[in-house]
Amino acid sequence: MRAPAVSIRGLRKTYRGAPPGAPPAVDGLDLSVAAGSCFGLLGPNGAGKTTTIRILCAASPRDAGEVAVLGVDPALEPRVLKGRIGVVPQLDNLDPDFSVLRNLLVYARYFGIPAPRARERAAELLRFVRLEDRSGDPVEELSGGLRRRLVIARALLHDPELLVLDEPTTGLDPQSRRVLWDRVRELRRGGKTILLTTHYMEEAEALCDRVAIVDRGRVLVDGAPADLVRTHARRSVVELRGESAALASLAAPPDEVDRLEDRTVIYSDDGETLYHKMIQSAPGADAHLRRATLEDVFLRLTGRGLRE
Amino acid sequence: MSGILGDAGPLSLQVWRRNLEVYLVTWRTACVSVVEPIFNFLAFGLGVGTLTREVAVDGAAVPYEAWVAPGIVAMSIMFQSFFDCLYGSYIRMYYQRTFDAITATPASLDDVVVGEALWGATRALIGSLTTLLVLLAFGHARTPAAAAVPLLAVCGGLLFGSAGLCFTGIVRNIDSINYPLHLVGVPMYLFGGLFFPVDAMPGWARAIAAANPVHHLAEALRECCGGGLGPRVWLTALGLLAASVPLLALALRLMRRRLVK
Repeated sequence: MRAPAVSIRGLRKTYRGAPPGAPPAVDGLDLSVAAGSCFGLLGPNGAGKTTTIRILCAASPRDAGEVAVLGVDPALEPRVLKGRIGVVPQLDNLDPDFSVLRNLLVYARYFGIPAPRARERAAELLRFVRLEDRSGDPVEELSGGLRRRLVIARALLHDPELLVLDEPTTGLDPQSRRVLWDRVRELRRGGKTILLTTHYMEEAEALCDRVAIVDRGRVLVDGAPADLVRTHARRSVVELRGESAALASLAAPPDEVDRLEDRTVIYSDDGETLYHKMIQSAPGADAHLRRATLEDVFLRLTGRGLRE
Repeated sequence: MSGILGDAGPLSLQVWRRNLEVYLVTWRTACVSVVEPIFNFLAFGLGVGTLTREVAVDGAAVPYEAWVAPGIVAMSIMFQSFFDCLYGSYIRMYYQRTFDAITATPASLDDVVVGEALWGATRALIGSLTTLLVLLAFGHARTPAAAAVPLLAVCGGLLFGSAGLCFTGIVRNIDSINYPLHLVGVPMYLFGGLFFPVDAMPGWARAIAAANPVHHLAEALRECCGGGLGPRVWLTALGLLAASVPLLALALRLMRRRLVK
């Protein structure tokens, strides 16, 4: 077995200037990302995802813990590491004064890629992200989805072993999102390790081999999305709106129930039977049956309260 | 972080090159700044020149227009570099997030800051050359010694650019840039003996001018634009260069404190 692409143990970080007594941004986080896999970092706003990513991309110093990215400690050899990873930041930082192509050519120079090779590589990558017809366009005229794809192409110029994407599809329409998923899958098939953060659980389920749910600077659970769903949210979910007469009518109370303000969420390994029993005993009940998802796991583990 | 300029290395030249290319791509707006020295020369040389026809320099009377011309070069050198490393760098750092993009590559923040300072010096160089062309067109500075102008421009530009970067490292937001710009930058060139001789000012103001690098820059420019290449020219170039090293080191510290979180 290959060594993990990312290995983090006991990572801690408190931002300088944080109010006294404020909890650390990262508080004893452990993480391991297998080489060649796609790994998703999930968690509410302020959970410590972006801080963790910044530390492992050598953009932020850490207070404590061991970090090895592709076998390199980002604090000790940042230049070496940054030459081997590709970073797609949360906010676009393309050069607004340059064309699509020139954005890539100028960026390639920071990696020491010779100009002829940079031209070849840029053409290849523009085809890969389906921007080959836009290479002369000013970046300012691109839509959000196209800009995102260009940032991804830019992060791949030096053929990095690890690609880090921080909320790659936030703010994109469903079509752009799917094109992006498709590109990420293609990269994963090509053998790259991918680490991404996202707030979209269906995105994590669609792309990731494993995910970790992070909250308050620690990993709550990690595993394959399907396994996490089975362990923490059962197979299926019955959602019941309004009064819970239908629930009370059941002979045996169901195993796991979340009572919310406007509805009751019941997790069950055999939702179908449960659902039919309910409908029979309380006809007209506003109930519906669905498959349990990663979003159920996420909400059960991190709570439903607003964070910010 | 070893040397006085941190771990800045050859990649700072790529940062400089990026800024140069943006300048060339946006040449239409860049051209506008060429017009400014023409306005300055018309206003001060020809406008104020109608009020004061001559200035006494070392007992000799010099026509005001000829006297003020190198001062306009000094103003251009200072303003171009200070402004770009203040306002321009702030836009690149904060609004365009260009620094984030570059530091995600093998380039470090120190490379970025040194590249910005080099670019400030280049802006000063471009400003000095366009202003010099205006002066030549009006019949001034027509001497081989004026070849020292670009040297003084680069040394001065590095100093004022580094000063601009220090403020970029500490200003709270884009509006706060007005403080260093108007409370430091503008008085430095208004009272630096660019447009009127410092001898006309009271003793305390003369003392302040003596500590003002823009004043020394203007005096050195006057000497070479007047055909002289005495020690004042070389010592000023050397002094400006030497002073920019600690200032650039300070800019690196302030930018690291601001951006490395």
